[in-house]
Amino acid sequence: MTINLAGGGSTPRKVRRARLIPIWALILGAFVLSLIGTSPHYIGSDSYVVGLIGKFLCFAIFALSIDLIWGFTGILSLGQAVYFGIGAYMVALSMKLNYTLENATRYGSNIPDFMEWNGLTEVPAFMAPLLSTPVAVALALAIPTLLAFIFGVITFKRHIYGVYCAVITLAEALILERFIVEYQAYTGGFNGITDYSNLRGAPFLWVIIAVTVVCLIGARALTHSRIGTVLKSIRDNDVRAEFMGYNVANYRIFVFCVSAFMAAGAGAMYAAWVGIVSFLDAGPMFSVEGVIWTAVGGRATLIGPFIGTFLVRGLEFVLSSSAWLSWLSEYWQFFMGALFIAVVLWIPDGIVGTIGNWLRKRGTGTLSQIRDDQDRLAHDRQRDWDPAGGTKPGKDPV
Amino acid sequence: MRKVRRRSFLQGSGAALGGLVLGGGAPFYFARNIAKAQEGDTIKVGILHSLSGTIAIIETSLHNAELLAIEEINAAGGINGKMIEPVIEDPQSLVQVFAEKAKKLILNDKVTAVLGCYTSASRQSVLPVFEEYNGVLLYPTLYEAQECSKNCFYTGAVPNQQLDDFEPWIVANLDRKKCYMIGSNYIYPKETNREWKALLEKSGAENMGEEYAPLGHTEFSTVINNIANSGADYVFSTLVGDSIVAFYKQFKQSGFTAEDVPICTPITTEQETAAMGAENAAGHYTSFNYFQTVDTPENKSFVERYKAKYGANEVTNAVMEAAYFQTYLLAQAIAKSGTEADALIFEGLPGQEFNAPQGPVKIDEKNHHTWLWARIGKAREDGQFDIVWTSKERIRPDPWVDYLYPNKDCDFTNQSVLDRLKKPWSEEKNRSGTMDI
Repeated sequence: MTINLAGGGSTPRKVRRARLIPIWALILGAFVLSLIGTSPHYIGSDSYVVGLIGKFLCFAIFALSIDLIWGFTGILSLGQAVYFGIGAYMVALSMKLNYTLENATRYGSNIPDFMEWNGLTEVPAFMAPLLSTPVAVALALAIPTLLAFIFGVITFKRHIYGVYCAVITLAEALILERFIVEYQAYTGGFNGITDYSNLRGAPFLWVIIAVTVVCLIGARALTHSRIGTVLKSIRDNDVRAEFMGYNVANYRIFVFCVSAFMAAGAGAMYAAWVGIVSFLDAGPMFSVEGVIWTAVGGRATLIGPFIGTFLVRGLEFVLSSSAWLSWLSEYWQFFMGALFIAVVLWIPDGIVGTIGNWLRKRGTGTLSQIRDDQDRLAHDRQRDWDPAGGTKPGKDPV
Repeated sequence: MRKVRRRSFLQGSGAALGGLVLGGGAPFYFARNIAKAQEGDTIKVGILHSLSGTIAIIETSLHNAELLAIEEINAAGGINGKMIEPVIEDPQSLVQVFAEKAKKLILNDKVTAVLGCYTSASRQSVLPVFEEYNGVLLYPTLYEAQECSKNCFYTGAVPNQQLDDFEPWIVANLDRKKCYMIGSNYIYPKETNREWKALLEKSGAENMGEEYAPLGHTEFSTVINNIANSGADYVFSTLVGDSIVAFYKQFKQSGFTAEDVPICTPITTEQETAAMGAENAAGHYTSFNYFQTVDTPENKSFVERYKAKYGANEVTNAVMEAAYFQTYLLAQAIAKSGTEADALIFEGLPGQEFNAPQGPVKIDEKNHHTWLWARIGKAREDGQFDIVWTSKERIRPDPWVDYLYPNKDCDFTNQSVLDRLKKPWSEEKNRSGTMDI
């Protein structure tokens, strides 16, 4: 691609698009991921730390899926856990059914205990397909994606977005949470699904890492492509994007489905890794947590959700632990609250975003940096999710 | 050479840093814990109750009761001269966090035993961890029974201890035989009502209706209508949490008096009567093994010490009392058998007795549940209970009641069960003491 940078009137400067993944990022990424992947060997695969790392990676992919729609496209979803939760429940049910076939429950039968105490005597026919692992995984990915598609068609095609969209997604999460708690014969209800043999240790951790890499590269490819540019333009000013001839609704539906697919994958791995799913994993609280991780780490950055998740969840685990509890006691949560307030007030771009801004300010402008700055500026003006609301009049750059 | 983009560089290095902090920091964090565990001049006991999140209010009181007991034991010289060191974790009312914290307590802090959990959900989430790594859990809550894990000691009531005498008492003393059952829609009410229905049948009483409200439900006008139309002369309630408060209030507002249609329940404690405004609960009946008004010297001093430590407005309840005495049972067991898990499970804890605030209690040698007293309380205007009936002796716990499960029993002294439990986890994942008879 050649762009003539006006100014100076000299010979046109040839500018290349930045590479999809810079070499150094590959090396660093490989280093970090191998460090994580080999952790079971130096801290023991039974250690809770390994358990936490795998869980946090799943959560981070979930946060990344929120970042795709929120940070890059400007759709705030407060119900992303719906897709995570369905993915998780499909896999958990499948594993539980298979586990009880081989290991009798405390009632001495071969159907899950929650079915037993709800009066079922055999696995209902519509659940039988879940006994096959490939089918369960396929359903775990397909159902959320399909649901996201239906949701997208219903809302985005009718030009419902912004706050209204956020409220609808929130309702979605509430409905699913209620559904899970009520239909306990099939979902385990309030107690959730537990006591099945989960996949632990290095082999499955590598699977999680591989999926993380695929998701990161996929997200990078998407946001770096022409589609990504359109998505960002929709985030910054959807009316203009519409006038330029882009079908905004279709782009939104597309990215929403991709994001749901990603969240479902994270949920499926989470259920297999942790060995417990509960209605909380599909509810509004968890959705909002995902939004917080993304905000703390940095919206519209790909590494931000990972930093945010590991930082917030890791800090929560450490602060709620014996060493800190002895002098913070139950007030440790105020500390977390203060952190969130500080992020919103002083570093609204999140940790990664803010450091990025600061570094860019000091750099001389290569074209890619200028482009990033434009991006950033437009994003700053549109900090609110409301596509029409955030523009400050009279401050239009260029 | 291509120029490295600073922003991407930053992102990359950020990730690397994150990785380093995690990969490098975590081992340090826990190396320190291991070092601590090896000191050996204290006995570590884990305390695993949520101090934050949705069930924090009740769990904090359990946590407090256990700390009070530990403080008293230490003040009296500890266990054979060794002090108890509580290792406190806050699982934030989240079931997966319960499991992770349990793992940390067992593997890294190397605690001798864990006092913890409140809901069945949290207990079921930690049990696989305790079973796999052979930890010891003491669980203070009343629960639905039908469980018998090798690694768990149940110091709360099981349904037979609260129901078996309650139903005949209602028939004999209140002269009521038409029962309407209302419960929250989850495992405890369903299992409890199964037993209650069997008891109704035994004494020739009638089941006028059975209904389950969603957890956290607070709108009961339809339910109350159904009760009125059913012709029931008393209500058996297994509602939990906020539903209790809403139901009692609306029941009174709709014109029912406790004299006409009393609510009988195995759940409502001083905690809930205080929350709903005691006048709404007055006259209704609760069956429990402990009330704050129990008249024993042990209870007087327990209530006094609890209030002195945590404030004069605090109320004590049955689950707290169990949390308190289970700490003593554990201390005595450690003094008897040492800190090794299997010794504690098969020698130390079974048969252990203690003069609890409710009266002398004992851990059953066979099923690892606890012999408790049965009491029926009538709620007063001040939120406390008048104890209208007390069992003559403590009642044997039966996790598999004969009239529902004639073919099942739980027996940790049975040789075939012991043989099965001796096999390593990789060969045998069934850690239950349940067997067919």
